[in-house]
Amino acid sequence: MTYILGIDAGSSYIKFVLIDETGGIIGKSIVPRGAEIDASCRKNYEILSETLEIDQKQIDGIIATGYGRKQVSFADEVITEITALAIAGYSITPNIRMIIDIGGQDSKVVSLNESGKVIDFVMNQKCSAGTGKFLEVTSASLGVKVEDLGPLSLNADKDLSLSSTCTVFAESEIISFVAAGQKKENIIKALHNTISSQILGLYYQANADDQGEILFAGGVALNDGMVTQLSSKLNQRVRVPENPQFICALGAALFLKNKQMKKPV
Amino acid sequence: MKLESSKTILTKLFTEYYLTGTQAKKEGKPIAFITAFAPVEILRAMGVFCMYPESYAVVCAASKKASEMIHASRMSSFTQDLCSYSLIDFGTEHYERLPYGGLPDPDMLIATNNQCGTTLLWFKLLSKKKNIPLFIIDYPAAADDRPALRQYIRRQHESLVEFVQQQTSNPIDDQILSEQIANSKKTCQTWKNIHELNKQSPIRLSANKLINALFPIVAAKGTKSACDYYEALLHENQPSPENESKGATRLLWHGYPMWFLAKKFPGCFDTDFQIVLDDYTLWWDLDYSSGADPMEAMTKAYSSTYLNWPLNQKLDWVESLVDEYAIGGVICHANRSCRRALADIVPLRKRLSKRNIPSIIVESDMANPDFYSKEQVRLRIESFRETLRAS
Amino acid sequence: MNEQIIEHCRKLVSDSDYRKTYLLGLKDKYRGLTGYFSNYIPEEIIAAAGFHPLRIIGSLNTSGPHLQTLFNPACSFVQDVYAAACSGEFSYLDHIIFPNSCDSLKLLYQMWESEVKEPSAYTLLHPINTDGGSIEYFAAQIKVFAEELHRNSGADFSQEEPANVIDKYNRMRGLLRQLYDIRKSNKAFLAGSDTIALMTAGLIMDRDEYHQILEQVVQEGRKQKPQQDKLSKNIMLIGPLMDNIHFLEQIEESGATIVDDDITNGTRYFDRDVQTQGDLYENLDRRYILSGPSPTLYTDPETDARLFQEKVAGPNPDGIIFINQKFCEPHVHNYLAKAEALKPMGIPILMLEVEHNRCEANERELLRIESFLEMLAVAEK
Ligand code: SF4
Ligand code: SF4
Repeated sequence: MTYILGIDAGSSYIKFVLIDETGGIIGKSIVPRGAEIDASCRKNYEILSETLEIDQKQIDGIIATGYGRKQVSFADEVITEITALAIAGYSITPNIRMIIDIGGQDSKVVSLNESGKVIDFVMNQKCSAGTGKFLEVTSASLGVKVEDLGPLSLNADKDLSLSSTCTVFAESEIISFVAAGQKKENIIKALHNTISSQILGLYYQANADDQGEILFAGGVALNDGMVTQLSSKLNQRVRVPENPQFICALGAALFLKNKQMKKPV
Repeated sequence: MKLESSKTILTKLFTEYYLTGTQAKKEGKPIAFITAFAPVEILRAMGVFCMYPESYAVVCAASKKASEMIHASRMSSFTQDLCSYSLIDFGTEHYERLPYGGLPDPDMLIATNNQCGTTLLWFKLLSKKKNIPLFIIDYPAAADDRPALRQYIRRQHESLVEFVQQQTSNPIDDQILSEQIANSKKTCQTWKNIHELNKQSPIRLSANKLINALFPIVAAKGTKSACDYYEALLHENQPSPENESKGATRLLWHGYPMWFLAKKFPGCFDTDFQIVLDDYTLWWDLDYSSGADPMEAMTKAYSSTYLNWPLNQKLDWVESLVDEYAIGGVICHANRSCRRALADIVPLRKRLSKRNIPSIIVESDMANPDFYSKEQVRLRIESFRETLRAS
Repeated sequence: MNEQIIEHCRKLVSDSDYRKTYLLGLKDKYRGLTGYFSNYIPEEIIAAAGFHPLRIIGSLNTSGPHLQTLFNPACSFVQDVYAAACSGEFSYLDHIIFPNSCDSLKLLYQMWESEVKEPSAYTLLHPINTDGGSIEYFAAQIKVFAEELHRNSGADFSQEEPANVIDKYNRMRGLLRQLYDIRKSNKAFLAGSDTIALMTAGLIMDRDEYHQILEQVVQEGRKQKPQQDKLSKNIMLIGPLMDNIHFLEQIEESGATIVDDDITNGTRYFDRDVQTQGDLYENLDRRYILSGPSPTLYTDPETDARLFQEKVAGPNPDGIIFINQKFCEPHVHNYLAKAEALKPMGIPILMLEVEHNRCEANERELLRIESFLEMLAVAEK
């Protein structure tokens, strides 16, 4: 048996996915980025192969993607997250026409045609509105853990709206909401709403084809409140894959697998 | 004869403006979208009903729809740096709950560069999207002292007449044109007189009230109703016999208001710390005094708009307002939508500081609340108040 | 290809100290140095009055908190020029000419008058329409401008001098067109980034020297046998002034070949000559105002789109990269129009916004460039 390792060296976390010849996921892991991307990748690669009891000789190829992709010195191949997302999305179901990935530092929307090729992609502008960072910063000012945001927001009973999409401004607005005695749950829902509006903007720009399914990838997709808000903005239930935070790493691994299959022996 | 109250006339003007638009469309009468400082008198004299997308953007912002509409414009995120009036307009296409049900589709577009280059780009895009003919008028800055430039503008006004004639086959009615010019002249004069009521202390009309009285001079200048409106407003607000209240700080707001705020200006003001004038509302006081010939009068009026003036003229003017209105402090609104209006802030503050007039800058936007930080602005204005009080 | 020439050009464009030293060296040869902005200022008139015309580009090394800045929606090019001007970078110029174009430059002009002051500024009021009385009007404005310059220089004004100058400039534009032609059949001859460096340096350099350089480069290009194409994607560049050569290099390193352009300091500079028969001012005027669509001029949008499609059809690139200066409003609109015109042609376009004084593409920009190139590569299979 031979395997392929996909590494997604993201801005906050590094994700590893190991697939076999059929494209099935054999193992995965996620670690905080650390200061030295290359060293951290190497170390966790060791740990992963040990845990799975796989000889590194069986690993036929290593591919890196993500923000730190070029720093992974032992990767045989490098691709961007855009291409990786497209491949992973299409592998989940060929019905996917759009992938929304909300990451820590930036969000991406990729649109595909019926054969899975990227036809357009957009990324949020430099500011952190519409990214995981926005949730991180604002949840801190509410004193709530990021993982609690989703469940809490589902208990909201009132629609509040943040007038500002700028993280800095929004923070002070949140503080004034708190001061005015507004319920946390409602404020959180408003936050999700703000992000969803930003994503909707990207969706429109990405030449969306209304015919297909939308895949919601990235760690933020674990937040049920976000899934609900985003779905309602897009007028369509977004599909959340199993392990949404590993989609890029999986896509990269699949890219290399496909490539190796095409290679003349 | 009993005079109608200014309030009644204003309501009537407002409703009529939007109703006439829809009506004109139904009846097949020509409608033009024009920019704030386009020579509307010519168009009216040719039977064209004129509507102002900028003014409509203001309505949308005031009804708190700006942010949603801008998001709905579905424009790329890098376009968010464009003037928000234009973004609101781009949003109308995809937005359902439009105030007044939206504007009717125009038959022609007229844009001028005596305020900014934005309107040209904006109208060019509209023209292309909706396939509507566009006429652009170039008003070179500093046209005053160069006869060749005045000639050039005059020729463009004449070409405008030809353009409208091609579109509508209506000839120009010289009688109406003269009336329109006369009305415009009178409206501007009355508007100025109304402001001057605030030279005394206490002031007669709050800056907020003046802002709310702006619509007729923007969208109906040249009509008799606009004339009547300002006459009535002036009549209702005669100088008060009260004694001057001493010690209050009289403020000048320099630049655009914030349309999305209920009171149009941020912060807390009271009789001791009060905006007595927003110079922006006086931008519409155009100078129609040049000659008896209507074409000549318009050449002057439309080439010397505030935003088209050379820097020194702007500074001199604001400085003269500071003197005439006994201003003790200036709040400059750095409006991120309007590049042209930003040019004067730094030099103005230098001038003011030479004369020991304190000033601050408030950064925001005239229509998009996403760029407004309530807390930051409040803090700024509050601390300005404290500084002024201490001095 | 002569490494030294390219190095000289790159430094003129990217190193403001080098540029300054070089330009100061020209002071003896000419009556003075005249800086100008945009493609609407007839350089020939400046040259005919005995001045050396040079295009103002930014300095690419203005950063730091001590610098004077303008409010944000002024475009990043203007911000950068203003910061440089405030630190005295343009003090060696004798005067500076502004166009009647975008709001950012109009803002800069007013700030120049009030804050920078030296060198003194002049606005050439060119029309923004291209029909009706615009031509006569502009001819008159050019004449006023010429008279002003001559009064300033004390030079004797005759029709003969401009005619010679025009001839010289036409020949220079001709050489640039030849250079682009050579690159069409032999992309490897000169990298896209080097070509833009060579182009942009020509807007600054002594034109006699530039002429010699161009002749040499073109001659060399003619001799070279076309080489095998690298396996890279053919890209066409669009946008306003793009003088950040390093950024272009990074695009090329990501696997693109810049084969053609439609930028201010590229083909837009040389695509038309000035006629030599007839009235001098009207000829200049036709060259400078009617020389093709521009976002700050009003021309018929349908014609603009058609001309652009023709321009793209020639090199038929795999993709188009539109590089805009942050906060440049005219070119956001230009982008929207171009993206629309490209749709029926099926050529993908990528918009990048750069900050003028940031020399390097950041991670995000590189990611976008690489993803775009990957998208083109996959699309082909
Ligand atoms: S706000 Fe400024 S930029 Fe916008 S339309 Fe008005 S004058 Fe032009
Ligand atoms: S980059 Fe754009 S905004 Fe800046 S000067 Fe050039 S055209 Fe004007």
